[in-house]
Amino acid sequence: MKSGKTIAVSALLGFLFLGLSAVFLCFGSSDISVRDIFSSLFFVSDNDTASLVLWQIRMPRLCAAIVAGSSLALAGAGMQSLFRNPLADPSITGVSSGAALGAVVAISFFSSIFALELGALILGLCAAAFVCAIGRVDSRVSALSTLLGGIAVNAFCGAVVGFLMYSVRDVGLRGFVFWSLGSLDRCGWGDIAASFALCVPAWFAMFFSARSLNVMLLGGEQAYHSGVNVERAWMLVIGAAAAMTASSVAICGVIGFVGLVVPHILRMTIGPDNRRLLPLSALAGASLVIFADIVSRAVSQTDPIPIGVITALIGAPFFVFLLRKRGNADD
Amino acid sequence: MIETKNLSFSYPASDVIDGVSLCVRDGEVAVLLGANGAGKSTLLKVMSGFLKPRAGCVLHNGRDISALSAGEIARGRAVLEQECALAFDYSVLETAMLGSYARSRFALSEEVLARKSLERAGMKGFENRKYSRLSGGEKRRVQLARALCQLGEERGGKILLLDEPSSGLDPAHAHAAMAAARDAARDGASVVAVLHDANLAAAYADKIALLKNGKILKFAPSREVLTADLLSQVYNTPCEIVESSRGFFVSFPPPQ
Repeated sequence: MKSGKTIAVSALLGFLFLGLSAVFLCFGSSDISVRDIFSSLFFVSDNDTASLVLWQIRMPRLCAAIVAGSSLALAGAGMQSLFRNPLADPSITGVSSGAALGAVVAISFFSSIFALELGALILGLCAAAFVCAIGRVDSRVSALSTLLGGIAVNAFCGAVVGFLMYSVRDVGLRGFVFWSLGSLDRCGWGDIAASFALCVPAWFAMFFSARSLNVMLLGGEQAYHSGVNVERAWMLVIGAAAAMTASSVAICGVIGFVGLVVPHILRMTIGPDNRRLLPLSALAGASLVIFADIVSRAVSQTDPIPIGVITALIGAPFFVFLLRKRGNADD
Repeated sequence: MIETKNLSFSYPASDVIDGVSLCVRDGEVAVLLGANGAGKSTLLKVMSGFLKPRAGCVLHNGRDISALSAGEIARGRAVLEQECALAFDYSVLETAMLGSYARSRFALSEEVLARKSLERAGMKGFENRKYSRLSGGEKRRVQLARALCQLGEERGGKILLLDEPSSGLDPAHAHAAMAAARDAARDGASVVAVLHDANLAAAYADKIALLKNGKILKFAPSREVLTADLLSQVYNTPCEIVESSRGFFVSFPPPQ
């Protein structure tokens, strides 16, 4: 069994997560010492600036990175098991772009973060529902049709977001670019709390589905024979993935490839058992987004590169590698 | 016990099963024989609950399965499908353990039972091998172990449905697979297997159902069903029954 390897990987990821979080909190444009940051974190600090920077800028940003990274990786891991395909992730199946479109439409008409989250959630779920409807063939769910439907929805939503970006010209362009490429620049405690309220039930729903997802790897028919309520498992996992993706998009826009790369690397290391894969994907996804944001701010502290660009620069070559490795093998 | 009453099923283009009634009691092994496309695998899928009948009903131990959930059905019956492609790479032991989904959440009992099932299917010693690295016949035996694992230790009153369990297996392992099914019946399970090998059916079946064009031509004890006339009629090819000191054998000589 893989328990020894799983413990080692869990410990490694735990240390990585804590180490990156510490670097994240200590690193920034404000000239504040590590000692001040730590005293503000664990004690009552007499340095008001350090306390302000930590609790009003860096800590919400860190929490946003954790919520977004863990949600995206968890959604990706769940969807890959559900579709029995390592190329499935929220950005490929249309959920991300649907949520981004919802967010962009919402900010065109409302200024409230809740309206924005609601917009992202509604269109993210609509995209998921539409893709599921396309995927039903002869009253059963087809993974291939669902995946292809997701690609179509992705293209459509991307086109509408592109049209809106084109229409607003320079005035609102930067805001729209934020949703398209992903950034942690705009996160406050209110955003995080709203996002967290949506994410937590979805995390539990996904963890609850781990055993069903394991059996779903045998295919829908065998999963039914083994006792899985296949329809309910589909709805639960797709719904949870949509909710996690929408809440992530709402606070930091579309961050691609986290949901693709993280579960795949972990699966190669600890195996496909979702009872291990899902929680470790969440931990590794959070670490990757934290790392990407550190890199983004290291390149330019005054005008950080959107982290979606950094995760895509890491993820796109990996995606091509996966495609090449799979070759002509059927899913 | 598994029973079908006047069962019919159609795909959009054609009727596949037409008015099938049969009953397999606890402790019995029944084999479905018929030519390609006769409806054997479809009948097995309807009996398993995966396909819903157009008419008639399927009873598992007297209960109409249309009123039962997937979990309730799975706790009383296991299925070995004709094909089973496993996405992502489990170990052999992990694959066998998937059989315990409907029954147990305790990893220790799952593992003990999965190891025993692998031994029953002739895969002892393969536990830590990767499933994807196995040959086709070995994968088939692991899937059989998964189905046996789903049956559990208390097999009385359970139902085991096997779709071509000997497919891809050499003669020794084909006999071993059917012997494992026979053992399950000895422990009180009702076993229904789809086979293409009439001699394997003769060796292990208590009853044989001959299917032609979705209908049961005859459902009776093996010796009554395996006649040259009936088999020639079902397979549309000459058939001979050869008597020997060890019983009888079915032979299909090449058509003249």
